[in-house]
Amino acid sequence: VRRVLVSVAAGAAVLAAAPAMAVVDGSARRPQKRTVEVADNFYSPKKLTVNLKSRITWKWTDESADVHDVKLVSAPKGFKKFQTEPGSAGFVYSKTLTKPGTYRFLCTFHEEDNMRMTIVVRH
Amino acid sequence: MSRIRIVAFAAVGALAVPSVAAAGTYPPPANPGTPQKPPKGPFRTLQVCKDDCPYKTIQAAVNKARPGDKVKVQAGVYREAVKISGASKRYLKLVGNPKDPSQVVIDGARGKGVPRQNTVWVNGADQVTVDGFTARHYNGNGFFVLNANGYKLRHLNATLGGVYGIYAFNSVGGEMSDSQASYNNDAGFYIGQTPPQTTPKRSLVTRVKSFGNVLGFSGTNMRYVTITRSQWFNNGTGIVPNALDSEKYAPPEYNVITNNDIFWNNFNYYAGAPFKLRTSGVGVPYPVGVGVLLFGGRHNEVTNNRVYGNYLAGVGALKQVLLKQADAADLVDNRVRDNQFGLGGADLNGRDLVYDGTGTGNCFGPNAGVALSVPADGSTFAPCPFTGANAFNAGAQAEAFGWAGDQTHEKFWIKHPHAPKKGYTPLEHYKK
Repeated sequence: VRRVLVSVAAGAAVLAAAPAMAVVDGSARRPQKRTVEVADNFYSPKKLTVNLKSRITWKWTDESADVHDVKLVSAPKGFKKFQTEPGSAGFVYSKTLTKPGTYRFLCTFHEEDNMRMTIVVRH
Repeated sequence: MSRIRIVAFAAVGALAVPSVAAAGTYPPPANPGTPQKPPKGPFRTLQVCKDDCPYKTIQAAVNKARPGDKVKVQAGVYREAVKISGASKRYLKLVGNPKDPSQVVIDGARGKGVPRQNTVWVNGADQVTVDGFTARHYNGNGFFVLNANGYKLRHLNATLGGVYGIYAFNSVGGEMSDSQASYNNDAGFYIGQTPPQTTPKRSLVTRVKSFGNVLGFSGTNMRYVTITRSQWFNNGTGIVPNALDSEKYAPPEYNVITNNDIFWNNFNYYAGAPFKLRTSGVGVPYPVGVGVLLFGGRHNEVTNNRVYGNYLAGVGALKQVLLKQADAADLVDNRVRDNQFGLGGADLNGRDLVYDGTGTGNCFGPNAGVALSVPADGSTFAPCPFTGANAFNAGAQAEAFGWAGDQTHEKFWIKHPHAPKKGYTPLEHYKK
């Protein structure tokens, strides 16, 4: 993770306004909301980089004719792994990623089809 | 899985090079793992009903059940999704009304919201019995067993579902019996991704009816399954053992399809259906109008069935030409024999047999009532028994794959009048 404090003065001003936020390239890294599409047989996007405590929502697309799940197979230390119920079109599942690091996911039904994705959570 | 991810059927001719199958190399038979030990009891019966029972919901009773217990569900409509998960629920018996499953309904509908995904989902619990229920309006699957050593799905009715009706995945040694699946957006019955086993535990599908589905039965990479004494009719395609890369353990093998009635599988769901048709955008469907299609596979037997009134073809066998796992793409040692086609001339198939001649050791016949086949000269149909390379026919293969590319889904049908069948009505176009 690369952090750039543009200037002591600017940094001090930002930190004073929002002491809980980190500063990157002069801007605060706020938690984000991101959506991942679950389809036949892929996640989109396949790679995602988000800020700490971002909330990820997996949405099974209307065209998702088959059954898929989302299984967290590796995660930063201290983050509890999970696996969604098998779902199809219209199913939705959300999770907040509370630890920095790399999260790797796969569909247990279509692992052979390389239905995988990665999310990197920045500090 | 009904949708085969083949985008360029036009390229099939160029890809169609017959080859001799190599020995398969499989992942170790480790999944779904070591069978769980039978519980010793004593066993209890947990009662579920809408009034005056210890449990008002099925899930509440399941949560309290110990291994081997029975959960008895009284008549009613239960609007919930039931999960039976883990070894702590092994040998559970979930019982509704086996004599009349219509009395005990699990309804997945949620008003205007997305319906519940799986009305009954068994995951990682061995030897669970589900007996005597109707599931309807589920977004995913009606009765679904995942990662189990042994299961019994009996006296069930799965209807109006988003994907599969009665479904087992990555499981071994199961039974689906005396049940019915209708109007599902994919297969009425589906057994997929059976792990290879050194001492196989066979699965049995018997005395079932499947109609009004996209597929009557799908078997992606399934093995050791016997399908018998059942009726497969009014589906888009009847029975489809198939090899796909998207799931583990291709191809399908050591399956037996015997003593079934496979008829009138001409349901053109594209023209209207009681379910919302989902299209993934990357897939091409199996052609409408086929009784049985072996799409890749080894050591499968199609014997002693009555196959009639399917407008495109009665029984087809094609190489899975775009399977990435090349050593699993060929048809090897499949036998199609002792079947009766065309109901003695009273209800003809459009074509009785279709085979592209790929692979080795595949044989056809004797079969009764074969009138028209592809190729028309019968050159690919080696009589049983047969060893050695089959006689590839590029024209037959191109013709058959061309059917799947037909946007009308009826262009290549050869229609004949159906013989009347008491209690049954042919379904080609759905009307509300």
